[in-house]
Amino acid sequence: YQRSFKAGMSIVTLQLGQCGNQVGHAFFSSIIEDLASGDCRRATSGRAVTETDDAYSEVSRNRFFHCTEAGQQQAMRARAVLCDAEEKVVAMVTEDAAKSGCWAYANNAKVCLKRGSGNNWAQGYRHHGPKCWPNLSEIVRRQAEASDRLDGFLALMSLAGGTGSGLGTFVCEQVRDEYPEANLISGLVWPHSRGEVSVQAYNSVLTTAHLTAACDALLLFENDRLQDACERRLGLARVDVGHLNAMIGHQLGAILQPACGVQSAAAQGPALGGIAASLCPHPDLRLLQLRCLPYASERAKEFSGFAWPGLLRHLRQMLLAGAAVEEGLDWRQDAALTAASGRQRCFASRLWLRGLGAGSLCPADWEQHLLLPELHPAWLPQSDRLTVCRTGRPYRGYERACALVSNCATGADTLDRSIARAWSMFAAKAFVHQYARFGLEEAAFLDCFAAAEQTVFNYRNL
Amino acid sequence: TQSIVVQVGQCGNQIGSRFWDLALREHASVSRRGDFDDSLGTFFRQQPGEGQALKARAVLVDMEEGVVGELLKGRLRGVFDHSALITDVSGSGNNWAVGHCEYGLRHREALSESIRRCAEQCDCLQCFFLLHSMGGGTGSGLGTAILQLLRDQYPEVYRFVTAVYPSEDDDVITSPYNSVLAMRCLTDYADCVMPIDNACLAGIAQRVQDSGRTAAGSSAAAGAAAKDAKPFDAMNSIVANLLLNLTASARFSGTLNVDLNEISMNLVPFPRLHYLLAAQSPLSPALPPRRPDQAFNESFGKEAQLFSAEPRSHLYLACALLLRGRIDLSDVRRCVDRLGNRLAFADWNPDCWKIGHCAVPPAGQQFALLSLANNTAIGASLHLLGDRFSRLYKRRAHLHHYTQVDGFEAATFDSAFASLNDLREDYAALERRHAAGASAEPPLPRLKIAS
Repeated sequence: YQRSFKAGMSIVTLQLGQCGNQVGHAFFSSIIEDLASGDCRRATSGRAVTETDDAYSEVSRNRFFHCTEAGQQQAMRARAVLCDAEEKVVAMVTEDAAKSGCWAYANNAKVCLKRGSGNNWAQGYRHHGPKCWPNLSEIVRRQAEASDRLDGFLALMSLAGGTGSGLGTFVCEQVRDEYPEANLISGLVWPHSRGEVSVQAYNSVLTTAHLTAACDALLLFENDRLQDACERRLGLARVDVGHLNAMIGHQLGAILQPACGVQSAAAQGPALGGIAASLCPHPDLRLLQLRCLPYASERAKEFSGFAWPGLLRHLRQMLLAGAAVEEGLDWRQDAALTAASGRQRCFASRLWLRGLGAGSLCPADWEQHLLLPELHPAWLPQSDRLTVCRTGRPYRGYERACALVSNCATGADTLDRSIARAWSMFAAKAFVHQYARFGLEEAAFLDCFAAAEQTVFNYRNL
Repeated sequence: TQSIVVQVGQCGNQIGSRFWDLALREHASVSRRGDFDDSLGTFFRQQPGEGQALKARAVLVDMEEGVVGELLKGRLRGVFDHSALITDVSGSGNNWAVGHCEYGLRHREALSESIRRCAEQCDCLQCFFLLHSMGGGTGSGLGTAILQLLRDQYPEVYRFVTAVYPSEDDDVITSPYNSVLAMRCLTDYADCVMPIDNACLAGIAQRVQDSGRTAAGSSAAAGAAAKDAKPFDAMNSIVANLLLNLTASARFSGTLNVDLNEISMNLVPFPRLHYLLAAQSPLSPALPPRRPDQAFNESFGKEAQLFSAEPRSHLYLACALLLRGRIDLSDVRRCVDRLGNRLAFADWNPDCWKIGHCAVPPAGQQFALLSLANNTAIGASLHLLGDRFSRLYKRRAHLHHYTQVDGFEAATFDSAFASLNDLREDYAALERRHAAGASAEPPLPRLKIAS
């Protein structure tokens, strides 16, 4: 029993660039908090619960951490690789992790260059990437080999800057080459549409064009939506970057923590692989949206108990309305309207149900809300449209929680806006000389525009 | 990463001396224990040996002995490396040709050596800061010769220039000649230029004085600063604070660091149009603190500009907001949204912002904001400069002072003036295109995918 669970599959997280490192840290913190919430539950529950929780913790720990016995203590080292073009953020993140007292990053898991990428995708991709890859590939190999069985890699990066986007793209392509069997999913953070970086549109289009080819799936996180979601759900007038990162970390945990009846063989299957196989079998369609309910501040958590029907109903409406948050939803938007607008055409979805009574739900309970014939292309078999993972073990202290990852057209809209902005800059030749300085010529730009337009086209014609 | 400051001429060295003084104070107030850390390492290094004295990464150049001499007698004398001083005795006579051609040649070896020694002491040299004035002979002429040398010998290292332009009422008759000649070098060899105007500095200094508050309460350090204050110190301090605010993110940590190479990348869409209009709020750390909304409004107002230009009535090509201290993401988004609605941006990117946030505010303040705008307003100022130049040049006034200098060719005047006009035309063309709107030139259609 113990040994077989240790053989579960591991995920190695690649934290690329400033944002990637901050989000990665938030992600591991979410996992740790989830595990800790389980400890509380076990203390007050009966044997059946304890066994489930034990199995869950075992799988989770093995999935994300390398656990060694160091004297009396169990030392947990995150299965992560940290890379940035300068040292400050990696140092901060490493220090914060160690401060927690229960986990840390491995000592030899980081690569930092001395100078930043200047928000320049070309500098990140053509200069910093190749420069740090020899060291980085060693570290990645070490992390991969430290796992009994490797599910794959989760690459985290932002699209606005130069390191996450440029160096990140290079690293993903190299990882894909060196580990063709491993699953590779990237978590991409899209900047606020009202400008964080002048050239963010270029960096976003260049990265997306490359990664739709290199990765199995792209999980999209948009700062605009995240900020809105944090302000509403946390009831805060003022939100900072830490809140946004914490939300991303929470959402990633909700879809990557063990599910599917942890004591079954399915639990030992690949989490990343499951997402990629069920949602992105087609190479033309790889953009994923993630929605997660509920989410509240620590204080409000106690009062956020929902029943499954309510949660599922909200999820469905969020999907129909293309919304990121369950508040302020437009309930008039129904399936027929959505189908007519073509906006939320959905290829496939995957649902996670975590919490009390998840095990006793039957397919009809979720299908009535989320399996909407109007949204899916007719040629897709019914059985492929919606897959479900569930566990009775609550996530992070929320009595019931659910998450939905959809391969739908919302992502294409975001990409389309970036292409429009990038194209008008390109037509005016704005900033183009900055990229040329590092070897990215107009022809390469045009190739990426073409690939990105193709992606948008694919979704618009679902 | 490290940066080296090259201060040239009387003005450059006066600004430089305020910069080093304020930088030391700022680091002292942030790091109580006085440990040498990476943030200090940006502009300082530790002298190996007894005491591990702090040395500035600086090269001081002047063709007269006055200002540098004062520096070496003053409080900061221990901070400068004696091998990093290049001086001469007779001055440049407010003659760009003497500074650029005569001294540029005579001292080239020594300059190259000094800079090389400074560069070797850097782990990862990212940026040269050149401080000088445009209207005289040394800062203007020798300063631009040094700029060219930096471009030739260190092409990968960014060159940021803080250039003080002469005001309309400048008492040096040949200042238009010197400025235009120097300007051509700035256009060709610099990565970013922040033009400063003495008249604006004087206005701001006056406003600070009128507001009646003394620097940072009544701390002993402030008292000492007041006692040693020289004329123009207030004005030079404004520029020194500009440099501190510009480099804060590169020196300290924050959630949205902005490295110096990002400034160039985000603010310079076309290679020659790299003139950035700077404005700060609060106008000086000595003033009462501003709430973020107030600070944003102030820094886009006329009175906070460090150069005589009105960006609000012209076209923004790109704008950077470098924030220091406590401010929330929501506040930033709200202020940027409001500003974006009021300001005119080039149509190829109406959201051409670069936002940076450094957690450490200036000493004595909770929050500060530096805005750097690449704005066509500078075209209007270039127009005035061009006119002043023409008035002299048409009469061939004072030309012999320049042409009699070995190595200076008369044609240089023409090519410099042409360069200025080209620049003016570039800015004007952008404004015309914007005014005409999409009707004049239909947007390039996007790539279509064949179905």
